[in-house]
Amino acid sequence: MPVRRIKPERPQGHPELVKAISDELQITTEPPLPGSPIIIEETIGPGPFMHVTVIWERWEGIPAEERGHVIMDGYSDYYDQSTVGRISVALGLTPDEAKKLDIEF
Amino acid sequence: MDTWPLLHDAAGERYWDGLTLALDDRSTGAIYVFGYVVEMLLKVAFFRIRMVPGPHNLWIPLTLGGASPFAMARSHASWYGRPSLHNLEAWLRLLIAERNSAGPALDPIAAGEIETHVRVVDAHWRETLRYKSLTVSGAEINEVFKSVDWLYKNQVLLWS
Repeated sequence: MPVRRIKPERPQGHPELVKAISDELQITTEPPLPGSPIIIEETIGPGPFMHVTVIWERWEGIPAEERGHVIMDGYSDYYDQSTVGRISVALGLTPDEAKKLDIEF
Repeated sequence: MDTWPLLHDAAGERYWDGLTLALDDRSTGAIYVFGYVVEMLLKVAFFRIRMVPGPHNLWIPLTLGGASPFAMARSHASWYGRPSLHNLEAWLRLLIAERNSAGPALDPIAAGEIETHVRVVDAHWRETLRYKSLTVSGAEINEVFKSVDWLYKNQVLLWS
């Protein structure tokens, strides 16, 4: 009897959000366009690691874990693996959530 | 004597104390106690990652002439300008930095979730709450409990 091998697969969720983050990483102009994600990269501790916070209205209704996957996928689309490997925290928050948590942006 | 297994046991006891207070509408007391649950879980994780032996008193140097585990943490936390041993955000950053350098590093997506919940508690909690007489809304206590509950039930992520 043929064996059916089923591998775990992570659904490719929110490709439009992944693309928007990847696109935003290429833009260097200030201030950000209305509705675009605000991306904050912060160095943590003495090493090369960075903490990425993405503040964006479009996170509304998306669970925290999925937001993290979108951020990591967006960075993976734009940067090489060595840069992506420096991300130690991928945090997605809506502007309201960020204000409540005293995160300046 | 303070050891990390005793801190871990205390975190479990304070979790249930906090829940009891919350159900009895003692919301300020509940948040005061819940903050310590998170603080102790972060401390336990840091000391476990630093491989501090379970029976070791956390205020006594690990080696002759060395620093105690708490002094190590205080010195490291000063990187962030927050050397208080009650600052939840400093403890989390310390833990993340320690895991980055000593390994195993936290998964960045899990770290993001952990950070969200720690920050929710941190936004409501200070150890000085014991001196305050405050009115806490039902929404606030629910928000804090949700985050403490998530961290308590997923605590293994902090040190595995």
